[in-house]
Amino acid sequence: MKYVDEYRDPELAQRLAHRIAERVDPARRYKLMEVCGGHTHAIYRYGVQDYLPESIELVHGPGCPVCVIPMGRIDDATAIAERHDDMILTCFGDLMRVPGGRGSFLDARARGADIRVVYSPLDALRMAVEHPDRHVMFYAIGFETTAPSTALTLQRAKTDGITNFSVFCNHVTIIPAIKAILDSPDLRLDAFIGPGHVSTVIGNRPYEWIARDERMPIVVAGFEPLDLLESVAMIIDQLADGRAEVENQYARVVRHEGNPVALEAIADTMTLRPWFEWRGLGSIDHSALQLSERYAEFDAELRFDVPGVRVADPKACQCGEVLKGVLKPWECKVFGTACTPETPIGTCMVSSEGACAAYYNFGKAARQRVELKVKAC
Amino acid sequence: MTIPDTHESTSCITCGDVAVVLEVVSVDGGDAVCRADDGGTEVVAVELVAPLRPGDRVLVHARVAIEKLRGTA
Repeated sequence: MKYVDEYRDPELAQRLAHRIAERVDPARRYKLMEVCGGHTHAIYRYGVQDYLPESIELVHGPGCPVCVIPMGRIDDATAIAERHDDMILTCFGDLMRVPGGRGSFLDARARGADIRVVYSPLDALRMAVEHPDRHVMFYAIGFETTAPSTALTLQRAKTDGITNFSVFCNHVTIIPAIKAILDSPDLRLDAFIGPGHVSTVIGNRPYEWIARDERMPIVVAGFEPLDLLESVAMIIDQLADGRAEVENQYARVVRHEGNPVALEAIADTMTLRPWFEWRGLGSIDHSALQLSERYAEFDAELRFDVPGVRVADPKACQCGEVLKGVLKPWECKVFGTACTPETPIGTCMVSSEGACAAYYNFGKAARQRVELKVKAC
Repeated sequence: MTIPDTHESTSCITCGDVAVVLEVVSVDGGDAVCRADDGGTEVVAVELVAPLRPGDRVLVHARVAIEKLRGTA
């Protein structure tokens, strides 16, 4: 496949693996965290960990936006949809199975709510135009990769004078999540693999404090197997040289300054919330977006009565520890037994980018390797 | 390394940090018809990466282009 095959060459992968093996300190163990669900998915889909020395551990952070949504935000949207007969609630496909306190959107649809999957917020806006007698609410979710599409949709809605459209905004931002991870006493990290497509929008500058203040390398990486291996090699080089820098492995896509036009669209339509609850990480200040005053007419939280439901995670579920990288997915008590992609208890098992689902689908080999190692000890 | 036989994507296209590279076929105002590697086309909003010309390649997420690419990607 054009533009892809060159990043999946097994011989080049071997060369990178040798480069990494040559530079690791045999007396040291390394913990590298990726904070992007796409990276988690790619690491286990392609078996990237199998090319790394045993001393390098890849730890999965809170990079899947579906996984960090608290159950109450599902219940809030469900309540709005069920209270208004004219309401069409629209969302991305992965959200349909995320469990809330009163079940998922699929369950709510079975009870009679009109909940539909869209591929883009622009599809939701078009639905509003095609159904002038209905109200279409879009459940917005995602990091800075996805926020521009919501922003652009809001700008088009305002320009076109669409009045039967609103956004239930759950967009989150990556930097406060990284800060929360670094503040966590449970985890010691050596470096970060930076999120590729989030960085397409925000650029590399927002990470500079990690290198400067935390003395920790961060390498923004692409999503192909060779991208990930090269980013690990760049991190190991930095650690071996005693450097802590922001480097961009994904320079074919990510510009240092990001996409200023996309950032302007976000700034026009959204503003930081004082705080937002993240599943597993708790409440984090200034970590999420809400609609700006200029777009208040499209803000579902202002147009409709939101119950503000707060639901404790099921006791058996250890998504919080998995999201912080403290537990490996298979160390959760219900992984692969009570909690599977078909019957998820925790959000990490819902999205294919969730650490649990990625392990469940692709991580069997990695799991067996660790189990064998434990037995050998 | 486990390389699947086909290049099908099983990842969450819409809400995660996932985007696809498409080639611009034609531009009409804020929208462009873009073509995927398999030949399929879709209409993409391109205001955030304008100006574009046919042949340009863009990174698309949720039917919105978020970056114009340089070199191979």
